[in-house]
Amino acid sequence: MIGTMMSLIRGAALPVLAALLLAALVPLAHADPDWLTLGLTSRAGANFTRDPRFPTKGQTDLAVGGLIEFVPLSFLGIGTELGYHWTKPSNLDGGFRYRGHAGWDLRLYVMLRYLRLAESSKLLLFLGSNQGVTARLDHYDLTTLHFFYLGVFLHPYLELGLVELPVLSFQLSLPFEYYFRKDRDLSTSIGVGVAVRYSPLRKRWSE
Amino acid sequence: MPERPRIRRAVTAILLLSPWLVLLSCAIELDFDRYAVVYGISEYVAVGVQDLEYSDDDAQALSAILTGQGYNAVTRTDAAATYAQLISDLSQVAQQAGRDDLFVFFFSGHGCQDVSGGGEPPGGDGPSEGIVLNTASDYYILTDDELGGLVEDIPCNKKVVIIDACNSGGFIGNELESDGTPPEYDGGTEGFGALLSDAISLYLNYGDAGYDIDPSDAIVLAASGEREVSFESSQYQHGVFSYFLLESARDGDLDGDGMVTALEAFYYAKEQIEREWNVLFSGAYEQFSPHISGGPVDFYLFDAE
Repeated sequence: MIGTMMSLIRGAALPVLAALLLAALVPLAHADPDWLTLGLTSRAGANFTRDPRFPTKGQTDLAVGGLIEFVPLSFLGIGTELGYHWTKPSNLDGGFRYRGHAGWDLRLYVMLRYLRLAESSKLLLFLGSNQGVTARLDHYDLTTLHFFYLGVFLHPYLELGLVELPVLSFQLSLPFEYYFRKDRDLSTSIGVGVAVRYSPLRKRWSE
Repeated sequence: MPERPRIRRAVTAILLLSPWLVLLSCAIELDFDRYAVVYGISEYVAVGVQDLEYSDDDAQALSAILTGQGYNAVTRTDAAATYAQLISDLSQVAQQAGRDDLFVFFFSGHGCQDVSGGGEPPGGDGPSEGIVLNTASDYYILTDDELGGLVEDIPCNKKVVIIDACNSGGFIGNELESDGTPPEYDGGTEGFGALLSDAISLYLNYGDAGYDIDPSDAIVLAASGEREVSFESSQYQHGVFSYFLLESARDGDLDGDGMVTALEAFYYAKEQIEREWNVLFSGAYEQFSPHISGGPVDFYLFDAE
């Protein structure tokens, strides 16, 4: 009897969650879309790398990029970003270091703008996140050796909008990234990012 | 009133000392033993193998640098540089060295490629490459796979294999990296499209192929590509690659940290060969370019002299 009830509860969980999500989104569906957003990004942070033979070390990381988003709802968009990044070598402690590398980034992601945190007569503050996948083609410093790998990322952000200039906004993010490197036990990154965003078709910020 | 000058002096002292304290706290730890097996063959015992001029000098010169920097180095040249002796030397290192120690193997002499059809196992990079060692009365071709097996038995996590010989790029067992420098260098590099598709294919098909020297076991510095020859020069009185490798101990510290890593030594030698040797020739036969293993790590090699 209890087992049957548990099965029913488990079976109903997913549809119930979907319904709740839909109910939350329906009022927002009337929000004005941004339609198109262009932007420039910059990120700095630390890579943490571990080879099966050696302990984890940190490597500083810098990235720049340009993005384009299709934003059919003010709170939801899909985007792509093309960028370039540089990862510096780690220290040589213990007689080994993780190599520096640099290369191209291509990202596909979903942009979510969760809620308006604060507002004044001049400024608006939003909370959101970008999450998606990245494909990278890098080369090791001082070599012509190129390698490819995939990754996933989550970039929670604060977005500052200008009331009197709704086409422009600025983002401050905390990017978390995980890379699927086949020759490493661990390759992950955390840092700080900034972006300037231009949405030429946004006439006003949504209520 | 007297307190103020004392406090000011204390603050000044702290400010002056603090950069040094930071530097001390950032000092690199190199607390491990270093082992080297250094072989160079100019005189081949076998009648049919052409002698070289400077390979023994290459080995002696590198051994002098390594020994001077604290390496436990074993050096064999000419008739003493036999396959049996190499097995013995490597076995001795395997017994003495520990996991955190550094091991370097250097060879200068003849290299070759087996085009007779023996080849690599399935999935390998085609023909086997080898280095030519002496025996008591003949010669022995130590293949890339066999050398890889011998090196694998050395228990050190840090291993560097340096080969100044023809076709030495064939010893490199890259499984994830696509090399933009072609195996037969003619002054150009591979195109972006070819590199991208090759790199994606390697990533999607990654697996332990078990041939050549895997980058997860040792970094290989090879004088030349898999399909090209390397040279020695009367101008340098050394093999061309060995000459610039030796120079890198003095001039190869690219980041100014007082140490030369395998990657720095490779880059220095490669750039100098391009600037000093390849510019003298327009033909692909004489031009050559060193290669290095892929993989995420780089190892200390020399103290910068």
